[in-house]
Amino acid sequence: MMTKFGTGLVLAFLATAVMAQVAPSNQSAGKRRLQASLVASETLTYAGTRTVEIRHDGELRKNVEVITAAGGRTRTEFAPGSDWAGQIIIERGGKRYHYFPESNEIHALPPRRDEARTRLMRNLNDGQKVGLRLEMAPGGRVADRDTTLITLRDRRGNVVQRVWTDRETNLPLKRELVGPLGSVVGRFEFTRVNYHPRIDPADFEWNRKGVTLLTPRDLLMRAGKQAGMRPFRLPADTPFRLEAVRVLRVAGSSAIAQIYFGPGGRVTLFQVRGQINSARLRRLAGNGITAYTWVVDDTSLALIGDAEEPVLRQLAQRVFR
Amino acid sequence: MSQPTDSTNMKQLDEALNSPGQLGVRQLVGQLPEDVPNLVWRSRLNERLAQSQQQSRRRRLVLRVKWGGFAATAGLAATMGLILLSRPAITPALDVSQEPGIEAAMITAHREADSAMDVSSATVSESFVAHRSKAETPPFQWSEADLEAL
Repeated sequence: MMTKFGTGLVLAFLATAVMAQVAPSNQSAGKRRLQASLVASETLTYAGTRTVEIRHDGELRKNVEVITAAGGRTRTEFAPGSDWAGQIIIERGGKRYHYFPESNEIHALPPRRDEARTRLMRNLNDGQKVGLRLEMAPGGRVADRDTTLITLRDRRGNVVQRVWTDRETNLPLKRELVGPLGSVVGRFEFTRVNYHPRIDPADFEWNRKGVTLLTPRDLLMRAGKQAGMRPFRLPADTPFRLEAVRVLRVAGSSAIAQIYFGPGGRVTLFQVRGQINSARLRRLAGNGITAYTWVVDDTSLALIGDAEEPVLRQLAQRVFR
Repeated sequence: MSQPTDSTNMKQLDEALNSPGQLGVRQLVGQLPEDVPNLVWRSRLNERLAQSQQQSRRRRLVLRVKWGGFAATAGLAATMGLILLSRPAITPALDVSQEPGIEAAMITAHREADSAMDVSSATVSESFVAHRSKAETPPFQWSEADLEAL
């Protein structure tokens, strides 16, 4: 009896020791695989079609993107039937040109690729600190390719993100972002990929007469007019770049939302005519998001982002109009 | 040896019982009314006895479970304690998108923009621009059919 018990104890101890050895290696292998997928998505030449679903004002929007990529340059078109059908995005040389056929405008914005890389690298590097765990497993077939599934979990074991990478080329073929309540808040999935496409260099150029070229600052001024407010903003000498502007209308009041990207991640600057309940805002934030509010004359301002409050407070001191 | 002593005692006892004092007491007791215990009272007593027996049996069972299963209970409690200590307190996540007010709209807008810009090529401001000027004439959208026409 005692011999059986002793053998069981030794086996249990050995199993624990083996598991403890396996877990970190899986973690570092997952990290290496993700880093490789970042490099692959920036350097590979390919053409493919992917379905993208994102939430906008609570509604799920679906787009089919046709992507051509070569040596760090990309061209994205939105297929007919998509919410943004007809729009074209060309990303090259540290710039992103987004063409809108209805308004005959091109928005010259900061590139998204660097940003995605910075964010994911930050997550990976801070992984130990924030308790991010990576798991690797066979991911099945995506776009007729064999994949590896990398699952990222927080310290409580909640899935934060899933990435399916091409087992051979490391290109991320499918990705899901999971929200705080466990539902998928954004996803893409390639349905077709060709690693030997015929590329025309002109695919990454734009030449259209009569088009209006707008910078993020122009977009901000336009949003200010629409909301009836002179917009506040962050100065250009901060490491935060303005990448999107929109006007929110809630319960009869308007708010300008400016989305910036910087070393600490994404930060949104809101300005509202009227009051913001800062206690309520802080309570609703949570899940890694922090909010800082202040008032200038009759305008309430708020900075919301995944940075610590002292960082937001420091940033708030630079906001001007 | 003991027989003569016993017969002497018996004789003395008979004499004492038939003494005038004893006969008087016997007569007095005989004149007393017969005291029959009330049936209701007896039934109540029985019920009480049964109850107390049942309670003591239950108490014994509880004690037996408590002491008998002490090791298992302590083990379970220790395991639960370890699990609870090793996991941080989980605060229920709030579905902000269902909350009213500008504050909830701001949090939702930030979260949506954050995840949208991570997976999509498009940005959040596009819908605003796209719906702004639909009246503009869209440019030619060539298709394969146009090539085949000539």
